[in-house]
This record gives sequence, C-alpha cells and structure tokens, in this order.
Amino acid sequence: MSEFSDLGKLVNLPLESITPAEGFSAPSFLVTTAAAQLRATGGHNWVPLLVVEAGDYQYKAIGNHFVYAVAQEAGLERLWCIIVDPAPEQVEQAQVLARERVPKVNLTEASRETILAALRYLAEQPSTPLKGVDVTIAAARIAEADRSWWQDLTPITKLGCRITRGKKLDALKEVFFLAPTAPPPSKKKSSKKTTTSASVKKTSSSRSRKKTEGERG
Amino acid sequence: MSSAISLREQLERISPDEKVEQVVVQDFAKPLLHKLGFESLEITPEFQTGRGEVDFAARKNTQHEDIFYNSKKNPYLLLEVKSRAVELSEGSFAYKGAADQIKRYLLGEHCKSARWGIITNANHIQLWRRHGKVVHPATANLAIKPDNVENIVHDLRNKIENYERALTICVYNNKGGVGKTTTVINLAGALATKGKKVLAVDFDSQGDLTRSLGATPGEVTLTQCLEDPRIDVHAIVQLYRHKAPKGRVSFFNLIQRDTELVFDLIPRDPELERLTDSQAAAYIQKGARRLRDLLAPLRHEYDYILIDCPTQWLYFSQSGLFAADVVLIPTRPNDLSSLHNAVRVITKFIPETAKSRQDGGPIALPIFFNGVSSKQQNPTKLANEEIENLIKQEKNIDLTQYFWPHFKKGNEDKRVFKMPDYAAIPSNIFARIPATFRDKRILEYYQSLAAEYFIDE
Repeated sequence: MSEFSDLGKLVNLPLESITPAEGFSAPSFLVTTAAAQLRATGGHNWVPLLVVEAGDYQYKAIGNHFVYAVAQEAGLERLWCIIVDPAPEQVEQAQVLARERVPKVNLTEASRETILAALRYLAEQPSTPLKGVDVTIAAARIAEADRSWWQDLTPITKLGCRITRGKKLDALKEVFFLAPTAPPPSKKKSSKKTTTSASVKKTSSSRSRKKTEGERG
Repeated sequence: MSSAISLREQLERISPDEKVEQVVVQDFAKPLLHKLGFESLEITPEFQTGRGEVDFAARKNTQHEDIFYNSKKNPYLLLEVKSRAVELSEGSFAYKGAADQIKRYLLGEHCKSARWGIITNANHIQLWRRHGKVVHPATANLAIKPDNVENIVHDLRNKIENYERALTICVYNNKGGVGKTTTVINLAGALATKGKKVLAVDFDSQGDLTRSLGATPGEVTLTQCLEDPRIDVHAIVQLYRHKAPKGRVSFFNLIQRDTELVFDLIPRDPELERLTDSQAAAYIQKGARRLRDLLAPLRHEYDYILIDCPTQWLYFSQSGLFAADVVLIPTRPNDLSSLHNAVRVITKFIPETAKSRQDGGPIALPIFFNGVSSKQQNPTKLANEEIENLIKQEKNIDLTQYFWPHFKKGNEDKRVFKMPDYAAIPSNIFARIPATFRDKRILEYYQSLAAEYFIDE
C-alpha cells in the first residue's frame, strides 16, 4: 500500500466526521453497559469501527457498528477506526469478517458439502423458516439437479424437499446466489424434462427419506 | 458554431487512427478552446512564442480595443496539437518531445504573460502551468474518451480560471547536512527582497528554521491545525519582520521593497515531535496528504511557499513532497552520498508521490551545489564525474536534465548552480536574521539562485 494511502490504517477519527450505518440497532442493555465499561477503562476502543472514506475528512461506517453505538453512548469525541478499501467486494468482505453479513455461495457450482453446510446454517438460526425440512435430503437433491441454467432458486421448489415458495425459499437467498453457465432449456423440453425428473426424484426422494428416517429411528 | 455540438460528439467524429493533424485541429482543438471559455476573437492560430510557433494561443479580451486575435499580445494559454498517429501516452518518445515543446513555448519571450499550456492529440491531454521560470504539469497526462471528455475539460477550465498565485517548493534531499534549512531561510529572504510575497513552513519537528529566526509558536499551533481540519490556517501564520539597519543604504539598493524586509512563517511547535510516532500520527486525518490541504487556502495569497522538511522518507518529508509543485534538491559537491540520495529522490520518492497525487506533480528541479569551497581548485570536478556515472547507471529515467540542465546534444554544458561555502550559513545566530539580510554578497548569491530557478526578470 502506498505511503499516501490510508487504506488499512488504524486512525483516530472525530466521531462527528463519521456517518453511522442506517437501520442498525442493538439492545439498549448491551449498548449502555458496554458504554459504561468503555468509559471506565479510559475510552480507548480496542475493537475498531470499520469505515470507508466518504469525502474530504468524511467517513462512513461500514462494519462493527456496535462500536459506534457504544462510543456515542459513552460520549467519546474520537474513535479508533480502520479505513477499508471502498471497492464493493472489499466492503462486503469486511462485513462478512465482522459477521454483519452472511457470506453467499455460488449455487450454480457449489458442492453437496457446501450446500449442506449452508442449509444447516440456515436451519440452526433461532427463528428458522426451514422447520420440517430435512437439510441432508434437500442438499442431496439440489446437488444432484442440473443447476447450470438456474436463473433463480425456484426450481428447488420442484425437487420435493419441502422447500416451498415464500419464507423458505426467501431464506435460501440469504446464503445462495446464482451465476448460470448455460441457457435455460426450451420451454417444451424443459417442462417435460422437469416433470420427468421431478417425478423420478419424487420416488427416489421418498425412498431415501424413509431410509433416513429409518436410520434415525 | 461548434459549441452547439458536444465535445463528445466532436471526439467521436475523429477516426481512431487519424493521421492528419489538421483534422484534430478542426474537430477537437478549436471546439476545445471554446469549451475552455475562449471566443473566436480571443484565439490566435500559429502564434510566435519567441521560441517557435505554437498551434494556438488564447486570452480573454478585456477591452474593445484589445482584441487578442488582432493584437496577438500577452497570451494566457498555449495549445499544441498533434495528430492521433503521434503516440502521446506517458513515457513515450513523442510525449517527452511534446512536453519539452510546450515548456519551451511557455518560456518564450512573447509568452511572459502565459500561465497555461496544453498538449493534446485527441487521445491524450495534459495541462501545464507556468509560474515565473518554472513550468510544471497541472494535471496528469489524461487519456480522453467520448465518455470522459466533458468532465476532463470542465476540470481543466476550472483550473485555468482559478490560477493559484503560489509556487509551492519543497526543499529536500534524503541526505542530511546539505543545507536545506539554510536554503529555505535565505531563499525566502532573497525572494522577499525581490518584492515577492513568501511563506516559509517549518515542517521539521527539530525546528531549526523556527529557531534560526527566533520565532516561537503562537496560541494555535501547526500540530493542532494538522489534527483539526476546522481550524483556519491563518491562525498559525506569523510575520517575520526585519528593519534594515541604518548606514547600509547601498546594500539595500539591491532590494526593491522598502527597508522593512518581510516574509511569513508557519513555525514548528514542540508537539510536532509527537508525530514521529505512528500512534500519534493516527490522529492526523489523511496522513501525509494533510499538509497539502492545510496550505491550500494560502496558495492564493503568496507568490512562493517554501517547505523545510527533515531527511528520511517518513511522515514529514512525505507530507512536504505531497504538498509541493516542485522539489528543490541541494547537494554538497564533496559529499557523493548527497548526489546518490538526490537520485533516490528523483527516481523513487517523487514518482511515488506523483503516482498518488494523480495530477502530474510534484516534479524535481535541477540540483544545485551547496557550500562549494572557495579555496579549493576545481571543487566540483569529482562531483561532476560522479554525476556522469549516475546518469549512465540509471536506465529508466534520463537524469541529465536534473543534474546538468544546460546540457544539450552538440553543446555538453555541465554547469551546475553553485552556492559558495561562505553563503551556506543560515543566519547570524545571535541576531536571528537570515544571512541574506546581513550580507550583501550572500544576498546576491541567493538572488541569483532565485533568478536561476524561479523569477523571470
């Protein structure tokens, strides 16, 4: 990095030069208690706020937003920050590392293991909409399907793995994106193919589900 | 006429490999001048600069009788046009030629009023600025395309219409003991005696410049200004004043201003020392780019801003170079390391700074020999031999112009400006007065330095 660039540097910025994130909120118990602790320990925030330069002497918070909320509550005038590269993919990476954004995987190419891990992550969330979905089965069926032409996640609803349109399918958007490598099959052919493959898979899926359930029992 | 059509459209009309210069002149150069704010009667083609003929000169008509198209006097801007077949990208042979050409034209005897020069071939464009004897890039050499040409020309017009009064000079060599502070003090003094408004900035935490002038920081300090962009920089500018002693009238005949010799100073404060520590430097927003912003309002108020900074390529010197239009590099002819370090400044630190600045600057001025022994015979012989080696060794940049500015093919003039050793003293230590204000010969030397590099008389 050039000596004239602030990217990656730990800098001490006036709070008033930083625009906080919109829509961030944290439980007031956590904010006020952390603020009291920050004040009591001398006001040096050891975990920095992540910012990007937003103009001359202007910065925008892009990660570790809790730190900003706490610093403001504590009445700090200045805050330790790290200046992040403003390129969108770098900001995204910083937010993923700060656990403020869920990383997405390319479902067009993802392996069964990756799909399973992603579904498991969703299923383990406290208020998961994936209740009643067997993630092992769903991952296996998605992995088997030809995903090269998928423009969106709708074909998953036809795999008979209890992932239906609405909340369930929307939840998947949190962890998957698609980068199709093949054109969609022609309509007639595709509907025929889909029906056939869906019915075939239906049979095999109910079989394998039984097996899984049996194993479990 | 053409102003109704956008520059974008004009540019699209020209074939990508157009070989005829006249097409670029008609379809791009003329509309460009209009977009830069010049009417037809404010433009003269084939203008005689006194050092060759430039394609166009332009200047605003101020009175009815003073039509530039007719009078062809006092141009403000010169424009040199090439065809698209001429490769004008940075570093190309033709680019160097065109850059030399615009510099030469801008310094022509009929161009004393000229402030700006442009070179373009409708693929690239670069704006140059003239300040006294110095011509330096005012923008990078920009690649123009239909979708960015309007923005680029808008920015050029903005610069052209807001000529900054000051030339900002950083006096720097990566080698210590070459007389940087001495040069800043005495050059500031010499420029002031020529009626120029000068600001000296002590950006060395050791504060030799401030101490030499017997100055002390005021209530608001340079460090505070660096840390808080809301503080008005004028709060830290001080006046250095010196009344001419009686009975030295003949000496002060050299001085155009009255007997009160004045330049301004931004003194160093002790807190500046803290900034050598990276933890403290973290409080300076924009880091080494901050000083340039800090001095920006003053660039409209002074003729010269001189920055003194320490050796070592760290925060202070990086800031000094980043803030500067030009870098003046003192060397010692008996200290070969000072020559080697001058090469590092020219080939490494200045290009690094320019890469980050993205506006073509700063540039190096030719080096000069500081403290040349008046007793020794041929005191610069060894140094000139070393310079010859350094020029041969450097493969990427032609160093000749930075060491022997008068050297030409067929006339190998190896003159280097020399400051004699007795002149290389900063000030009368007890009187806290620049040596230029105490000694006529020293003043004459620094006035010659000013005339050699800066003042066009």
